[in-house]
Amino acid sequence: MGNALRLGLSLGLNHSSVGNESSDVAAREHRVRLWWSIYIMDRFWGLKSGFPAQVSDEDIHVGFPNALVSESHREQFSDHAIQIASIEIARLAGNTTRELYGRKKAGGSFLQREQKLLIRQRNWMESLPDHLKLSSDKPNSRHTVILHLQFNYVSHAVFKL
Amino acid sequence: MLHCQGGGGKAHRREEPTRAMHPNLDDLIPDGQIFQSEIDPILPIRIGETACTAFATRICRSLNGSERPTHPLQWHYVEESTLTAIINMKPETPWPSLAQARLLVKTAIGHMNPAFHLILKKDTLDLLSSVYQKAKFNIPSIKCKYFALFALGQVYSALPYPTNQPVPGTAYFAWALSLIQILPERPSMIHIESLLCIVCPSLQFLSPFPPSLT
Repeated sequence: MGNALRLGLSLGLNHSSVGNESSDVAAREHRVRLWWSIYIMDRFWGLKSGFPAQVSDEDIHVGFPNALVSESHREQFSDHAIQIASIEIARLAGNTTRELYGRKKAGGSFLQREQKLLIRQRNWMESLPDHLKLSSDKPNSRHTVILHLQFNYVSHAVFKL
Repeated sequence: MLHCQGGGGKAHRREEPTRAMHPNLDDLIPDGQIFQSEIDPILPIRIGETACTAFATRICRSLNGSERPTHPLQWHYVEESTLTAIINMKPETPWPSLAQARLLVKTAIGHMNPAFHLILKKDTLDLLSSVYQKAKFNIPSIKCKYFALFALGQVYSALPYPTNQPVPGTAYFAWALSLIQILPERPSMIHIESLLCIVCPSLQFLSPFPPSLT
């Protein structure tokens, strides 16, 4: 995955397409979503393994995936909202690894840092689109369940310390 | 600690911040780093504090009162020799039939998406059909990508298997890995897609600390 990330950096996937950008909307969106998939993997496996992140949030200058409405785009891409929610969880995972488990002395007390993370988690839950929230009235899609399992895993990392 | 300033009869209490008020990780977890190794000549692997293994180790140490690492060992993984043997076997792992290939790719897409966008769905399936129509089975970049997808598709569609059996998709995975050992000087999107498709089964099914993570 490190190789994929380095190749992505060499292709400038962490930047919005400028200059010789393709006029093909699908190609541009593919670059964006591929980059964020790399980001999600890096953050999740960093949390699972305890390894530091390989790219800093400050070095990412590309927007979130877009909602593409044409039929041809729907054949190529899935619901952008799920990937955006996954990106936000991955960001929480990265923040947890750095701010709670990092050996570098951080500003504020441990409890203050933990409180901030818990607030960010609550904000994530509240900002979820309705179709991604867990429902007790009807069956939840597999991807919604997996999304919330990922969120619970990150929450667990905050509490277990 | 109190500091009293003279003059005016008023004492100013100023508490020095203590480590208890601003603990960092070294204060919360005073023990040293955890390493995992059974065999001395092999370099030990450091277990990060966020890992579940580290958490289990701390719990075990607290319960047992022992300083020795007692975390659960995870040595069930596919060894490099197994992957090498697969690549060296004759005949080499063939492409599946077109129908099976499409099924495997669709299975992989269905499980990866939408959380992980690794490929363009329609373009990938169209290219697969073109590969079979034009019999272009030996282009390394294309073969690598599709064999990685076949591996994912097999793993996600497999029934539960005994632990002494090979992980489904291992053969496709081994071939995909062998085809991308030398990274291109001028990479393209297909190389990144292939690497990420290889990472998925490796991380989830084949090893607790896969080299593909590095």
